[in-house]
Amino acid sequence: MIRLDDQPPLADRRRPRLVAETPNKPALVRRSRRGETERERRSFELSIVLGLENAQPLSLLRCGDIGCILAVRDPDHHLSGSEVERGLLEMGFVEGACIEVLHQGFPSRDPLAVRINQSMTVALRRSEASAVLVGPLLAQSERPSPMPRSGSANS
Amino acid sequence: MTAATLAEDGDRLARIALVGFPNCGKTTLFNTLTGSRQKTANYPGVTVERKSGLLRTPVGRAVEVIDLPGSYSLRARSPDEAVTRDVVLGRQAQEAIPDAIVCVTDATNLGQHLRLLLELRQLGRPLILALNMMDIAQKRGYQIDAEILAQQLGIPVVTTVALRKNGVKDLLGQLDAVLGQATAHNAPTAAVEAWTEPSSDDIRAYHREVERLLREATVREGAPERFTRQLDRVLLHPIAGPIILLSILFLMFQAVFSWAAWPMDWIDGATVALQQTLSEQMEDSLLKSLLIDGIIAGVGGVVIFLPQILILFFFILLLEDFGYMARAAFLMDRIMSGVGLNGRAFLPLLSSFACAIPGIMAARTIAHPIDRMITILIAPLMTCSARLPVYALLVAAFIPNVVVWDFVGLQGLVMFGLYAAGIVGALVVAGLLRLTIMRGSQQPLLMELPSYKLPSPANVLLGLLDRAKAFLRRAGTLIMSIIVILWFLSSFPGAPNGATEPAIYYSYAGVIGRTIEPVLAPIGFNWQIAIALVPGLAAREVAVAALGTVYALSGEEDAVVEALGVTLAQGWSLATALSLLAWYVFAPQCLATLAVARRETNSWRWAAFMFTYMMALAYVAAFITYRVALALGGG
Repeated sequence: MIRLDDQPPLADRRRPRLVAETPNKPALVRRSRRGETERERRSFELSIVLGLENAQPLSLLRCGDIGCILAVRDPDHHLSGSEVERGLLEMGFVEGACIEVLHQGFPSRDPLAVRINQSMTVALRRSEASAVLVGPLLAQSERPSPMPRSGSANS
Repeated sequence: MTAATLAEDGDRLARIALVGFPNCGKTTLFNTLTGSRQKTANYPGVTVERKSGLLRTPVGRAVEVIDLPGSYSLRARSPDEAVTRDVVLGRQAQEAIPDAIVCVTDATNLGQHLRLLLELRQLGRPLILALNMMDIAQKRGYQIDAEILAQQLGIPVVTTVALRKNGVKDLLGQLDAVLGQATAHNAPTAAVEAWTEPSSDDIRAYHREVERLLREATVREGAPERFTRQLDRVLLHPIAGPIILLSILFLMFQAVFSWAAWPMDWIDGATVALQQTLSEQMEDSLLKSLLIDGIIAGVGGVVIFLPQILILFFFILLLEDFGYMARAAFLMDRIMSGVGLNGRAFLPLLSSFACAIPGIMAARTIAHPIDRMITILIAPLMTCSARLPVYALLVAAFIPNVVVWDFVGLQGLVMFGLYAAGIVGALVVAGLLRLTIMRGSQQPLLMELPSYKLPSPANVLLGLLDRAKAFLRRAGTLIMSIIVILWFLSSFPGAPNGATEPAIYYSYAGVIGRTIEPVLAPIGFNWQIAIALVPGLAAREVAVAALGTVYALSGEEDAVVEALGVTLAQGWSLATALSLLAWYVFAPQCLATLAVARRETNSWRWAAFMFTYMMALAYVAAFITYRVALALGGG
């Protein structure tokens, strides 16, 4: 696995905005973000249920953002194991993977092209991307391993 | 070399299946392994192609290689992936479980690809791991210890360079070893019987295992690919991207439209020349008519589509191999999802402007069955080149050649309107189908954007050969029989003695035309049009010639068209002409398209549905046009 944090800063492009730099605001403020869909709002709720305070849905990231996947879970399904979740896992969106948003469609930033672990690029719509919760980039040792998260969204 | 001769000097034809992610170089490997000894068939009951070929191992064992559709998981999400799953599990009808599986992986992306291998290993079947594209991996600095991998996995691991003939030596050697043991006990193991779809936690566990394996086996990490990234910055740019896409599409469209014209003229000329030679040599008889107007016209009518199909698929295969098709789908997804379609539907629909037949065949690139079905159903609404002769005739005869505004002529404006009507009609139909019979949640777009690579000429050529054979053999026979039947309808029975009308008037086609005339009267069609519509089912442009026959014009083709224009302008009302134009925008006036739709959907029901909805749409459109034109004084 190539470790993103070991890479020298890419000189030929603007410095990527790390997710960690997004101020850690309470859920209420984050919810008012421009262009946020109902599904993304539920995704935020899910992140709080899962105890991932500084996570945000992949669909709200901007071009050039990089981060680490903290959880993969369909916000519209109460339980883990939905079709969307399995599809995302099979395409490499798994807990602990580094992602970078490379391109976004025009207009309305849909679909997205996301690079996973510096090796595979996957295109997906915002609707599916909102099932991927992304947090700040961590050192290799701190990264979550692909483990199912306990706790369910309907609790 | 055929399967029989190969099998004779070996013991028994062993069978191996290639399984791997899409874009792992599996098809290139398949082509290198089997060369031109390939054949394509269909799996029973589905439209998925079964590609197989033959190879001989170093010890002389004959092996049938099956190239299974690319799959991200055994948990099949599309009909293609379902075939892969069923063959691997030995559940596919008329297909025994393969003696061994070769899992093809991209050595530069093992972190993802090895997950599929672990799923396959679960089955306990003879398995070989091929680390493909090893040359690219080495160039980028990857160093993977295949021996450690083999030890950890407990299966043979080989490195391959699919593009080079001697890049597959190791694989062939391993095949001998594995098949030597495998052929003795070729029954599904208990693990195969007990297979269930992996749950999301299973997939996470596979990912963990892959991470562990790679920690063990990776000697050195390679550098990430830079070229693809940089090229994508331009090709997927929000503004430059669509402009480049449109330029490429314009070039393709132009090529299909105009480059194909030359070979098509040539085929047409050859057909006519052959018909003329025969008609001079033979005496008038039934056989002569069958040969000239039935069979030769039928074969010509099939072959004439080949240039367009080949040119279109040349571009498609080139772009697909290069890796651009996924980008095109990415760029078009926003627009196409507006009517509930996939970004991949854009290309088949665009190709349909040249001819719906290659367009419908190109819909194969759409994985999801509902999306693909809608694309096939609306493809014939795009204004194809065969409508042009009819449009040209009627527009020239009835629309005054006046300048409306600056250099915009009324005739051109009407032509543009006819094209636009087809597009708007297609979008409306797609939306309506989504809301009614094609319901179901919109398919998620989860699509890999593969790294760019130079297209391999062998891949493109073999792909083209495949398409041409598939069209000629499968759709061709159907199209030809339709043309022969239509010939029969328009030549029997012959005109009685002392006939006052042209011969076609008395034929079955004439009878059918005159019978349906009352139905067509409300939309302003006279019996001449009704009769011309029947042979016009063979191909839209035939209607022009048929009108010439009905109005008893003879002579050179161009002269007939010119005279026909004058005759029509005197004989028809403007309302009738406009109504016929509206009819031609929507009507299923091409049985070849229906034959291909039947072939591609594998069901007469969908072909019948296509015919019915287009007919209804055409009737309503022509009715409204006729009535409005009459009300506005176009009678």
